[in-house]
Amino acid sequence: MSISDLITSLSQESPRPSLKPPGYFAARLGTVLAAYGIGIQFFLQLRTDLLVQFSRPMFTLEILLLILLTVFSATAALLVMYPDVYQKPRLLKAPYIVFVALGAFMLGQLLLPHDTRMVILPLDDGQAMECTICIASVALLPSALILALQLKGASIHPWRAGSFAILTATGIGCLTLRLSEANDSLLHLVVWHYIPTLFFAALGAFIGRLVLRW
Amino acid sequence: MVTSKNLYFDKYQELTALFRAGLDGDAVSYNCFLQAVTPIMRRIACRKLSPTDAEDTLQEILISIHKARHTYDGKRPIMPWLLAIAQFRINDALRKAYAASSREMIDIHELAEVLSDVTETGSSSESVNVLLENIPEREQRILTMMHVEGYTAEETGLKLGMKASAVKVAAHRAVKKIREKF
Repeated sequence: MSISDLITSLSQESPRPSLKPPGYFAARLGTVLAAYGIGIQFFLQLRTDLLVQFSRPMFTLEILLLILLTVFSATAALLVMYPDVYQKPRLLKAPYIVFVALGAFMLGQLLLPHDTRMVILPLDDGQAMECTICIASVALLPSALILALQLKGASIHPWRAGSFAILTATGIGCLTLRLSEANDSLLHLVVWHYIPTLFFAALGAFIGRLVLRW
Repeated sequence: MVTSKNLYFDKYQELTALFRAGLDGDAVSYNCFLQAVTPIMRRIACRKLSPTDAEDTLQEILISIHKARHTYDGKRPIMPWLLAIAQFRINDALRKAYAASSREMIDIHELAEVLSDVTETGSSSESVNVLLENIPEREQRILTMMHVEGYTAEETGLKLGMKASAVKVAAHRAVKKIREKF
């Protein structure tokens, strides 16, 4: 087919309504994810010493970083639906920066003196694998929702789109679990919460490449 | 005062207007938009791809622009949106080309027909030189290293400061040129 024939046939197709701006999707997705997170938290229940833990700056900062990770990943997941990233390409770096900050923050805590308010279970006594499975289970539905939303767009970064979608969902999983599980062992958190999150994000990149074709 | 930002908007305002009209259902404007975009996209594709690949990729780019048209709302500059799609499809084409070239094997028997008896006599050596004389110097060097001196694509790449895949592509092109000539 020649270029002029192609142009003629393309221009004869019926118009398609424009995709809403990212702000619209952010408001809707934010509401759904917040409701889902609250529902999951209700199901998992809050840890009994939550107020004591919030008096610990390190715990508060960790929760804040998890919230930031979820929010920035969701923002990036929405922006990446547009081929030009809605001309805000810098925001795509934010989830990576927050994740690196979270990793550095967790490792940095190893150097700090032990806080007596921390509940530390032995590594093999904690729920270990159950935590990873819980995060994955919580993340399943939001991942599917965000990927379905991304299918409406035309992402030119399918790898990143998939990883941002899963990172958002696992962010919710980590956050809800952190607020419910009474175990502050840094080793446990790194090995069973945050390293699996990294793996899930990598898996998301792979899924994104398979699913987000157009 | 005319700023570079104003100039940018002036330059592509017409293109944006045509596209927006197309999004609203004006087929003629949309046709004009695609016609106007074609030479720009062709220029971009030709910079990175061979003329044949560039034409195929141009079609892909136009189809992709059409498929992604709903992601542009006319409220932001149009060129970054168009260029992002073009770059995406060009990268796809390059990836496919490199993947194909890395899978493609040069049959030694086929090559032997072209470069027959390269080491046997002085006159055959001259005939090799005749074969090679009409191809670029870099490709001559690659063919000589790979098929006369016995280096692998990786070793040739290391010596010439190129990637192995690029060496294979260059060697394949050179053989193709020789075949076309003889």
